Amino acid sequence: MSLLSVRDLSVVYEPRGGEPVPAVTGANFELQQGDFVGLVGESGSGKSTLGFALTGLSKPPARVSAGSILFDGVDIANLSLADLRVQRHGGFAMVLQSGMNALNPVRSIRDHFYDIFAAHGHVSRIDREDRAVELVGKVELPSSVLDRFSGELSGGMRQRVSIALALSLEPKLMIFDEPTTALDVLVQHAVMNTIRELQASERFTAVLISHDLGMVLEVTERVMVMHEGLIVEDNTAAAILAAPQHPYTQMLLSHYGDPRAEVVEVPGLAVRGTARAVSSDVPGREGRAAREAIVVRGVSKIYPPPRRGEKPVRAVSDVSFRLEPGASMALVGASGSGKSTIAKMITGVERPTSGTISFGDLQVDTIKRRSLKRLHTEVQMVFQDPYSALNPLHTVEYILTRPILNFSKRRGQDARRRVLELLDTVGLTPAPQFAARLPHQLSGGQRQRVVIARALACEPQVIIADEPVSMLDVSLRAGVLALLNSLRETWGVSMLYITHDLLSARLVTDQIMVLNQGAVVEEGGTASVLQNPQDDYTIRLLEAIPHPQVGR
Amino acid sequence: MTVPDPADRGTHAVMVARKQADAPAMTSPLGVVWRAVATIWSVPKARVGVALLGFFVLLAVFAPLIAPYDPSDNGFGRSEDFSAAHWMGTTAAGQDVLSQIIHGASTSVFVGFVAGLLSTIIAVTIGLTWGYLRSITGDVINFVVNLFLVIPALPLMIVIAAYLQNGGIGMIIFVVVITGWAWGARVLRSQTQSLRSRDFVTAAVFSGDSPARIVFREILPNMTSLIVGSFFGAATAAILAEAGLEFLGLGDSTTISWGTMLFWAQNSNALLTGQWILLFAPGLCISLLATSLSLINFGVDGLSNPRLREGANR
Repeated sequence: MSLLSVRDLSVVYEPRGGEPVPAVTGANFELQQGDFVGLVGESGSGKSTLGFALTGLSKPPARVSAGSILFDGVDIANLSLADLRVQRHGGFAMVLQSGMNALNPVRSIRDHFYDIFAAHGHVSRIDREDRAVELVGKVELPSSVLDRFSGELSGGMRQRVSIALALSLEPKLMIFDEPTTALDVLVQHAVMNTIRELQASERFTAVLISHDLGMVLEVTERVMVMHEGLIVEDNTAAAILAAPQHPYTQMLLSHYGDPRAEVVEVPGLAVRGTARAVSSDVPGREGRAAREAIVVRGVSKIYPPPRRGEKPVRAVSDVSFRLEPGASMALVGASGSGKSTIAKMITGVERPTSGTISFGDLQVDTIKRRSLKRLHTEVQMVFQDPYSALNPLHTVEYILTRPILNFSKRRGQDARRRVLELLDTVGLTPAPQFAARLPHQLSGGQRQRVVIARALACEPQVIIADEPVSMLDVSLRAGVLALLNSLRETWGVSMLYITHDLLSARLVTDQIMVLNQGAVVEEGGTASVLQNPQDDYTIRLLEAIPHPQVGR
Repeated sequence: MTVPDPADRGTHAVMVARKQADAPAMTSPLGVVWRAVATIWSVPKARVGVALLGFFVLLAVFAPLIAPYDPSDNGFGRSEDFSAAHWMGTTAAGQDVLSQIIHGASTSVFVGFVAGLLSTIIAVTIGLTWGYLRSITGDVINFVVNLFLVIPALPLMIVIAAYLQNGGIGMIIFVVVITGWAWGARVLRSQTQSLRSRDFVTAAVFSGDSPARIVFREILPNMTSLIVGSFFGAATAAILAEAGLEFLGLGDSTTISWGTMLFWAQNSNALLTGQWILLFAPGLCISLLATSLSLINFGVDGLSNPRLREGANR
């Protein structure tokens, strides 16, 4: 008999005063003991809803409306809360995306383990310490973490602790809901390896929920692809990789590429080969092409110590580069490598501790508030999170009108024409309809286009894009990247592209700088650096990228 | 471009549901107000509050029409008990108690509304500026606000009121506003500080907006529920403070209000003479009005936090 069998499962959201919305419709599958299955889909595909339903964690307004979930022969869809709680021991457990925030900050890690042991009484009082040490050992943490508090651990360590906590009930079924998404690239890789090894040694059944098909294909044996609440494909990882059946899977798969390849191609983006020269003489439109270079010389930024008695934080140390007019450069590194701090210093938000930054005749490092406005007419920023970069209460038209009124002489109808023109440029058509919308009526990709349109509104020479696609679904990324690319090429704007994602860096930039702990460890042409990395850190970053193709 | 778009596919279940609910209402300023009223109305506690407040407001507005007699007419028998002519009897000075209660509503509602509004305006202006600025000005404001927070409000009120003797309602409003704005400013400041670090505020800086515009057009609208909540809180405090000051005899004792009624009732030893209604009726009205505002505040919580709305049935 299979461990888990799901039949015709449907989950609906029934918000108060709103129409019920189906989130999962007619899911059918079976899991055997020891399976490692991936559940892939984009945001809103119902994958997390399904995961919550499998562990009996569905919360209102979500409700299991039809079908059954047989776990070891028991239908958990209709279990009472008390029975469900008993069932969790030796039953099913879940590791959440924000699992690292699930730890109580005022209790030590040991207390967390003891609470669970006490609640289920499956570990005798004398054995508790040994069992806790054993559990943290399984997730490759030293026993000393038991004495620490969650605030003293890094994100990766906390996620490992929450995995160990989930393991403490000896579950037969573990559901990992985007366990590494909130973590840094290199840490992601390490945590994923731990999960993989644990699954192999403990032989629990695991379901890995993720938006990242590449990663899932790499670590799991069987993959289910969800789209609009339906499981559209359910096959072995090898089969999906070799011959994806459903067009949606094919589309998802087409967005993966190896940044080290000779030629990298993603749908919607122009082919970018090795031979491409650095082009600084872009045929820009009159008055729009970048004329000035950003020159950064020996810049360092030291933040005061976070707590008394600690050392000052050195965010950036002695970085020098030159962003030529019309060029595109990638600034790559894991979080904490100082790449965002550099962006803040170039835009005058922060001041460097030492070194100089100049843009044309503007000395950015010592800029006064009055000239800051002049700098912002030339240097604009595209933000990482399109969900927080737009004020939820203003219409798109208001958002785009502000920079036009502030930076140009257009008024009234003239300004409105410009707004519509900008929306056209970023591909939001019909423009008048989009102008009247509020941010919550737009999708993530559309929001990011509005953010880009706003950055373009004052016809800047330089655009600083801070991880512009990291919050977007894979299928939307290519569109936004293609837009950035074409804007740069047709208008001759220079672009500083900040990212941890080497594939997208390869797709839109000609030059690259790799940062590690505030210092530049490698720089050069994007293609040549990625194909032939010299520094150990660059190599590690490259290896952390999931390669579904590799090793098959 | 062949990239499909999630908005067109209509994927995210909850998002879509909220979109449908919000889309038509959010488009005009009137729509925003209508949605706010509908949200408050959907909370049962707040509904009771709105009904109560509505009752008192109607009483206040139509007092001259509803009241059987002129409240300051002292031509009736003194300290009369309940009768068909005087449902609540008469005061020691020979005025009709019911008419006084009805007319007293207008004073309380007026003071509550005006003083609440004024102290909210001060709290918003100072709290938002204080939260947004990171300079020495912030430290100065910090000092002033802390000063107002540590001074015990009632003694301060008494001192100021005694100093500005018999200034009438205007004086009472002034005293209440002076002593009541600091707490709201403090609350609004912390919210401003958390909103200040949002990307859309940085984006507004990049769009060339001035600090004043950022504070009042970008940040302020995002804390409506906090401001409305702080208004109802301030209005409640103002109504209670007004009654308190009048009761202590620090206001103009010739105005007709629930506070002065209590003052005169106490002066004429109404409890000893068995006319408990003289103390009971204005006291009940004051607490009911204050309660109605507090009840409405339960509904305000749901204004900017949809989770509280959905979680209500759990």
